[in-house]
Amino acid sequence: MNESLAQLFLGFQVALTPINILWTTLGGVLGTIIGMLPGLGPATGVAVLLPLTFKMGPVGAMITMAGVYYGAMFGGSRASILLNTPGDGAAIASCFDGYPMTQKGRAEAALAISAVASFIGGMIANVAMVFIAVPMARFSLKFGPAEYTLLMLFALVATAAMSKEKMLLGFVGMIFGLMIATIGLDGLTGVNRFTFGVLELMGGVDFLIIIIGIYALGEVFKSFKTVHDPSYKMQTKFGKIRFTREDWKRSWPAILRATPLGFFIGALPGAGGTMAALMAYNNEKSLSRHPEEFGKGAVEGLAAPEAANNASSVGALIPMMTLGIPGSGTTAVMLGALLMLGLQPGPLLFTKQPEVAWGMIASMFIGNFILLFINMPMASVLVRVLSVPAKVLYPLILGLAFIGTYAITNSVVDFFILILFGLIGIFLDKTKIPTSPLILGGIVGSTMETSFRQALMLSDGSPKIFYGSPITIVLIALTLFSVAWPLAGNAIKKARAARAA
Amino acid sequence: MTWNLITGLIATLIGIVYGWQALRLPHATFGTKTGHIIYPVILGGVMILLGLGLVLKELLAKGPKDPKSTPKFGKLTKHGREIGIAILASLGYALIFEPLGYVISTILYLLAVLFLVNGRAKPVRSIVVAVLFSIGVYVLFAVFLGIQLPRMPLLDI
Amino acid sequence: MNRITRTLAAVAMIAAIATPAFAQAKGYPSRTIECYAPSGAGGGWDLTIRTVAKTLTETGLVKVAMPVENKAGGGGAVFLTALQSMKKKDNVLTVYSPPLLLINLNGTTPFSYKDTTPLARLITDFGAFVVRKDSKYTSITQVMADIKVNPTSVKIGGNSSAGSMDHIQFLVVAQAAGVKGLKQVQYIAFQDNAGAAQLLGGHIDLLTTGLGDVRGLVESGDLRVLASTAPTRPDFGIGKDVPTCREQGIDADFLNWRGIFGPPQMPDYAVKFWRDALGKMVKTPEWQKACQTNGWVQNYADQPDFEKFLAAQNTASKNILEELGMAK
Repeated sequence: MNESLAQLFLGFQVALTPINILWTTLGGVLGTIIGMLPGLGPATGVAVLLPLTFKMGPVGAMITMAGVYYGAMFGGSRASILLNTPGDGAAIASCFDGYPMTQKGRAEAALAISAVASFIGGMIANVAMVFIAVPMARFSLKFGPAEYTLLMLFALVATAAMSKEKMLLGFVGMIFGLMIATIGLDGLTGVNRFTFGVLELMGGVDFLIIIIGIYALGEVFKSFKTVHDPSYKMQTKFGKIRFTREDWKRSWPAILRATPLGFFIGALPGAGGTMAALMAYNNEKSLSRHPEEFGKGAVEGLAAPEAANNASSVGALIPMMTLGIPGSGTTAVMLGALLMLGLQPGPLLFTKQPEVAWGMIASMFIGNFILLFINMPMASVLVRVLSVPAKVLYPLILGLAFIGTYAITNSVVDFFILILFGLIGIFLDKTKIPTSPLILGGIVGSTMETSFRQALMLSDGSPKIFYGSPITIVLIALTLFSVAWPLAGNAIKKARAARAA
Repeated sequence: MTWNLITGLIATLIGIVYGWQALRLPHATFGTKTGHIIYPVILGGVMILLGLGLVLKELLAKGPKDPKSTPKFGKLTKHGREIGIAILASLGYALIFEPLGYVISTILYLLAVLFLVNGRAKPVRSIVVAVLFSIGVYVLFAVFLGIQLPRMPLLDI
Repeated sequence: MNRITRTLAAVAMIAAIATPAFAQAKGYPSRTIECYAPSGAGGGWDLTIRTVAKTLTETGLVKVAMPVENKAGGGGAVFLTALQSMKKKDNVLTVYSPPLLLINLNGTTPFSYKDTTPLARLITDFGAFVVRKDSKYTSITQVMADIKVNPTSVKIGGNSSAGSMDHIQFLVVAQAAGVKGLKQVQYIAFQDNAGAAQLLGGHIDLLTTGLGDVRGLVESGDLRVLASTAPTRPDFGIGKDVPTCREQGIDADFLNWRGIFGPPQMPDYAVKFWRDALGKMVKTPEWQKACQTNGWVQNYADQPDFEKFLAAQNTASKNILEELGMAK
C-alpha cells in the first residue's frame, strides 16, 4: 500500500506539470463535447485523437485519451437529461429520471447532481484503482464463458423484472432485443444469420443505432403532437446550476452504492458502461422505499447510473493497464495507440514505464476536479437549449440523429435501420413495452449467446459448467432473487390493500 | 382489442416467424454444427410463450378496461399524418445522402421537416437554420473530428 | 408544401445524374485520401494502416491528409462489401491479410481478392500457439499427441471467427503433425480479443493467435509460446526466442502477410502513384523503426509480384480448406 502511494506521488509529479494539466483539460473537454453528440462515444473520441497523440508522447497521449474517456461519461448525460436522447449507451439510464426532472422544470438540479455524481463516482474509482487494480484484474479473470452467460442473464432479467406489473411486457422487450442481437455473422460457426442477403447486416445491428432510433427519433415523432399546441411553452427562465439539500440526502447513498458496482462491471472485459449504469439503476429502484417515483423524476435514479458509468470507465482501464487486454471498445483503441507509440501494455508497464502508468492515474484525479469545475458553467449554457423553440429544436434533433448514425458505421444502410427503430419506438410507447430490457438485450445479447455456447463447448455439452463454481451459484441466486423480489413486493402490497379494504 | 392483446399476438407471430427462420438456417460445416440454430430457436419458443401469456392474461382479466389501454383506429390523425410525412422525408434523405453529399442533402431534409412542423410560418428562419446546421455539422465532423462525410459533387466540399 | 418537395426532388434527381466521374491525373493526390481498417480500432489491420498513413505523411511522400476510419464486422467481410460501392475511386486505401482469402473460400462473403486492386505487400507476422505459464505442455508436439488420442481433450481458443485465420493456422499445423479427424478439434472463437484473458483465467488450454498480440504477457512471464508458425526464426523481436513448428519436427508454416489494397478498378494514375509511394516508404528509416517496434518482418512485394503471390496463396488456402472440409 505504501508502495502504491509512493508511486502515485511520482505520478502526480508527472501529471502536475503545466503541459500535462493542459492535456488533461483538453481531453476532458473534448470528451465532454463528444459524449454529448448522439452516436459519438468515447471510442470515437479516442480514435479521433489518435493522429494527434503521435506528437504528444506516451504520457501526454495516455493522459489525454483517459480524459476523453471519463469526459465522455460526464458529457453523455447532458442530452439524456435535456432532450431525452442519450449521447451513448452508458447514458441511457440517465434518461429515465433525468428527463422527467427537466419536464418538471428541474433541469438545473438534474445537471448539477449528475455532474457531482459523476465526480464522486470517478474519484472513488480512482482511489480503488490505485490500491486494488492488480487483485481486481486477477479476480476478473475468473470470469469464463459460463460466468459471463449468467452475469448477462442476471443483468437482463433484473432489468426486465424491474417493471413489476409489466413484467411480461419487459420480457417481451428483452427477447426482442436478444433476437436483434443474433443478426449477422456468427463468430463460432461462420454462418450468416437473419441477414436476408444484405451483406451490410453481416456485422450485426449496432445497438447505438437502436438507441438513437428509439429515443431520438421516437421523441421527435412524439413531439409532433405537442409542438402545435399553442399553450406549449419552452423554458425561458433559468436558475443556477445547483441542487437542494433534499436532493443530496437522497442521492449520496445511491452514489456510494452505485460506484463499487460500476467499477467492478467496468473491470470485467466485455461488460461495459451501459450494463453498469442500468444495473445501478435497477439496484437503486429495488432498494428504494418509494419505487413508484422512479421514472417520474426521482433524483437518486439519476445519481446512481451517473456515478456507475464514470466508475466503470475507470474500471475498464484495469485490464488494459495490468494485463494488456482491452476491456472495452475504447480501451482497445487506447491499446492500439500505446502500441503505435512503441509501448507495450501489460504487466510490465507499471515497472518499465511507471511515469506513463502512474502519470495517467494521477491525472485522472486532477481531471475529475477540472471537469467538475468546467461542467457547472457549461451546464448553465447548455440548459438554455431548452429555450430554443420546439419547432426548430426537434427537426435539428433528427439531423443530429442521422449524422450520429453515419458516424458510427459510415453506411447509409443504417439510415433505414434507424428509421425502422424510430417506428418501433412509437409502437413501444403505445404498447407500454419498457425500452431498457430491449436495449440491454441488444447490447449484451451477442456476448451472452456466444458465452453460452462457448461454455457448452468447453464442458463438452454438460450443463454442470453453469453451476460448478462459486461465482455461478451467486449469480444464479441473484437472478432468482431479482424476479422474486418485485413479485413478493406486489403480493405484499395486494395483501395490505386487501386488509385495508 | 387492447394494446396488450395486440402485443401478445404480435409477439407470438414474431416468435413463430423467427423460430421458423432459425430452423431453416444452414448447418455449419465444422465445430458444433447446430449451436447457432438451437439458441435462436429457444428465443423464438420463449417469445411464443410470452405472447400467449399476454393474450391469456388479457382475456382472463376482469373488471372495466382503462380506455387508454385500447387503441383507437379509424381516421388518420394529423399527428399520424405528420409522422408519416417525416418518415417519407427520412427515407428520401437516406436515398440522396451519398449522391448529393452531406451538406446539400441535409439542407433539403431539414427544410422538409422544418416546413412540415412550422407550416408556412417563419420560412426565413427555417432556411437559415437548415443551412447553418448543415454547414456547421459538416465543419465540426469532417474538419475537426476527421469523420469522413459524403462530399458534394462538383464543388467537392 | 407539396410543390416544394416535388421541386426539391427534381433538383436532387438532376444533380445526381449530372455528376461526372471526372478523372484528375494531374497533381494527384490533391484531396484527402480515405484510409480504412476493415476491423475495430486497436487490432493488427488497424495498427498497420495507421502506421502506413503516419509514415507516408511524416516522411512527406504524401502531402495530403490520410485519416483512418474503422469499418469492422464479419472478419473484414463488411468492409469488403462496402469497398464494392467505391469502385473506380482514386482516393481509397485499405489493408488486408489472409482472412481476405479465407472469408471468401469458407463462404462468408461472395467477394474475393479479385474484387480489390492489390497495391503492395508490406510485412509478414506469424502465428503463435500460447499456453499459461503453469501449463503441462512444453512443446507443440505434446499438444498434438494429446489431440491424436482425443480431439476434444485440448480446448483451443482464438480471436478470429471459426474458419478464419487463427483457426486455420492451428489446423494447418495439426494436419502436418498427423492429426486425423480435424473436424473434431474444438476451436472456440472469442470476440474483442478476449482470448488472452480466457487463457490467463484457465478457461481454455491453448490460444492460437498472432505472435505480436501476446508480446506483453509473454515478456512478463504470464504466458509461454510453445511454437511460432514462422518458417525460420526471425532475427529480432519476440519471434527470435520462440521455436518454430519446423524446429519441433512439424513440417508446416503459416504466414500472416499484410498488404495495401485499393478499391476495384482503381484508376491507373492512382495505382501508379501508390505503388511508387509504398515502394519508397519501405526504404525510409521511419518505416524500418516502426517494423522493429512492432516485431514485423519486412516482406515488400510490388503489385505484379503481390498479385502472383495472392493467386498462389488463394490456391493453397483453397486446398487446405477443402481437405478440412470447410470450403464452400
